[in-house]
Amino acid sequence: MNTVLLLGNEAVARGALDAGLSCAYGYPGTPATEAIEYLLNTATVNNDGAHCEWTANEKSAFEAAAGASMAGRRALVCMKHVGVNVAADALVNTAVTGVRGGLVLLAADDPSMHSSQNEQDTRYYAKLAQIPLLEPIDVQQAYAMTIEAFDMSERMELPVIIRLPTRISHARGGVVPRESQAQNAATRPPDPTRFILVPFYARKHWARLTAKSSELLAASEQSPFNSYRPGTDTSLGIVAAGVAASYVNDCLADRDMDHPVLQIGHYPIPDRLLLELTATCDRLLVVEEGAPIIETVVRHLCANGGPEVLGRLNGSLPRNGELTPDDVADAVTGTRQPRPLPPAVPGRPPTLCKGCPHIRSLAFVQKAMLGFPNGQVFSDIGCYALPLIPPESQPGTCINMGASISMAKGCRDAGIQPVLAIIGDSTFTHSGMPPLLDIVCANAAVTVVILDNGTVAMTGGQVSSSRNRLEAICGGLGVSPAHIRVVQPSEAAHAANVAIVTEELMFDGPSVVISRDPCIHDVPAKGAQ
Amino acid sequence: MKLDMVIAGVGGQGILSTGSILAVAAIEHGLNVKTVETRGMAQRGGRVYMHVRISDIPVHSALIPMGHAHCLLAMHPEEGGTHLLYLRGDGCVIVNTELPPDMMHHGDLAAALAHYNGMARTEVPAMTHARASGSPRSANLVMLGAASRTTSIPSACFEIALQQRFGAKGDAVLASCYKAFHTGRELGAPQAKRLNGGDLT
Repeated sequence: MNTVLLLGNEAVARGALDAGLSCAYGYPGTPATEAIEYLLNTATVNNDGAHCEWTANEKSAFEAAAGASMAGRRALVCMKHVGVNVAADALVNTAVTGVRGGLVLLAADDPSMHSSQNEQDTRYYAKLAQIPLLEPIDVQQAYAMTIEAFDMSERMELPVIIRLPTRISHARGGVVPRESQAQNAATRPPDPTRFILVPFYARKHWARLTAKSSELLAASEQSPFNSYRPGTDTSLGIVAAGVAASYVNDCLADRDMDHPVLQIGHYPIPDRLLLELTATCDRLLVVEEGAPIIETVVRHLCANGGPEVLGRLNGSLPRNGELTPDDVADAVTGTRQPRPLPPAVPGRPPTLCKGCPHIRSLAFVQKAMLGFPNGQVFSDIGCYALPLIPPESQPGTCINMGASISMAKGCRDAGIQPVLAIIGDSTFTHSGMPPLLDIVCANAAVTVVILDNGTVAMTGGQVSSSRNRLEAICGGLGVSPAHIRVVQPSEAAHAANVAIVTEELMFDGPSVVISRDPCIHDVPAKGAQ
Repeated sequence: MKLDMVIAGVGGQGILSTGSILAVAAIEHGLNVKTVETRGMAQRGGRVYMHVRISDIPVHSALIPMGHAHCLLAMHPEEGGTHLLYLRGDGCVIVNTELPPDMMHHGDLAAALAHYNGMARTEVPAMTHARASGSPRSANLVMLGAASRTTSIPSACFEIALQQRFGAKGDAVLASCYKAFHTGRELGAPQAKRLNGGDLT
């Protein structure tokens, strides 16, 4: 077949299709979004109707994939690293039940926080859930690993994680696709008690899971994705994982250096291969993208008189942020190249687009809050958090999906008033509905402003799960219809909107103000108006 | 051949499509290619860059180390300057000297161009040439054409890549894309002589 140029995320999606994918789910989030986008654009055309859709949140996505797997089909679920937090309950317990059809989780980590609130490392989840994780060195391997991940998942009857850092998710490379496999047939599980985790059954399933640890380790020690390359210069041995191994390989090739290298792409960490390296070399450098997970293991192995260990924990590599080829070259050569300062060019922080309705919505909300100097504003994840940074520096918070509403309630319970939560329509249906229900149940005086542009705008304008049903959702959760106010954030309505928000801030109970205007990039929705 | 290129500018200038067309053309010519790019928040009027590595031997890392790039394609004269640390001492700069009004830089053009003093550079008024090609939005293709001269990839491979990307938009659009690309390719001719004598044969 011909070589095709694919993004890392697309390579995983293409690999899943060629592995006989039946169902795929995900929630948009940079840097993971393009995998599901690719499937939505190609799946139904090329693969006999693979079912693919965006879901309301990552937990829902993971559980839908688990259901497809229970029916014997192959399923892919895609999310960014912090999305795995949302799906974690399902992930950990699906490891306990085990899977039938191959179940693969694409988790896109974002070291350096290009578009995220933290740098958490998904490899911890693989350890927690006691399942295999694969981490490719490049885009071509991301494709090959995905196909292997489905086979491995069915062989071991466990979910398998593919971890892509931003520099693989958003890298492009030539991929030579293989012949597509046929999909599995849908069948009901022969042993339905596998999927019952009441303690009576759960103890048995948990024991089966923990008993697999030696099988998982044996597989990673024999894996083609973990390889030991001997070298003549044993003054330094290098452990290089995932994308970081590509920086090591370039560095050694550019400088004609020949150190032993253990390349890791398949977890759990292959202890035996590590011991081989520690026995051979005077010093060990551990190069891994993300948290110092392998490095911590190596430090334990070398604690009593073993070789000196270099990595993120001793300052040979930066403690935080994504690695660069230059960081790695410095660590390998034990030098520090000068980093020339670029010319002083003013920064270009991301801002709301010209004409964005959020600008006008935030204007009337902030104006209303000026009347309540002792009040507190909470905000959430989405484009509307952009004005929190300079030069605008608007008051608010931005922590995790849906937290604006629940934190506003806690803050009100603690004695601050009034409190107001600003949340986008898609973030609201992702994680804001249960907190709104809590507010209703407690009859708490919290005003929730839902900025309804009908899309998941920040990730490219996917249709929001709330579209055309937002008032019904709020009413259904128990907010009084008199306190579900729908406004249009126009310049002309500014004063009226300030008055409406002020009224609701003074109301001693739950209230919702829906400020509705489509995203300026959402042309179909604009046209429908 | 081996060619490392940094493409730099701001969201909306077609940087990712420029780099992708170059990458597809390289694959069409049977070369290895890796790229890496900024997406997401950076695109909301923010800085966007793309590293493109093309080689006839396998490429390991998609990110280019400092001081390795043979060519800096500065779609935006100011933003290009922030990536100069990636350029080799003997590398070249191809810089766009015209910007749409909504992408105007903070300082003036002369100050931005001064960053490249002492370097081999080609200045390309890309908007003017794009308009003359009948496609005001294809300034990035003019720049791509100029940059194409730093590679040994023949025109035909770029035409295949352009066809893949714009073919669905009809013959007229495709013809103006070809025209913008070839206009740029003529402007980039001086760089061809310079780099093909070095690393690039």
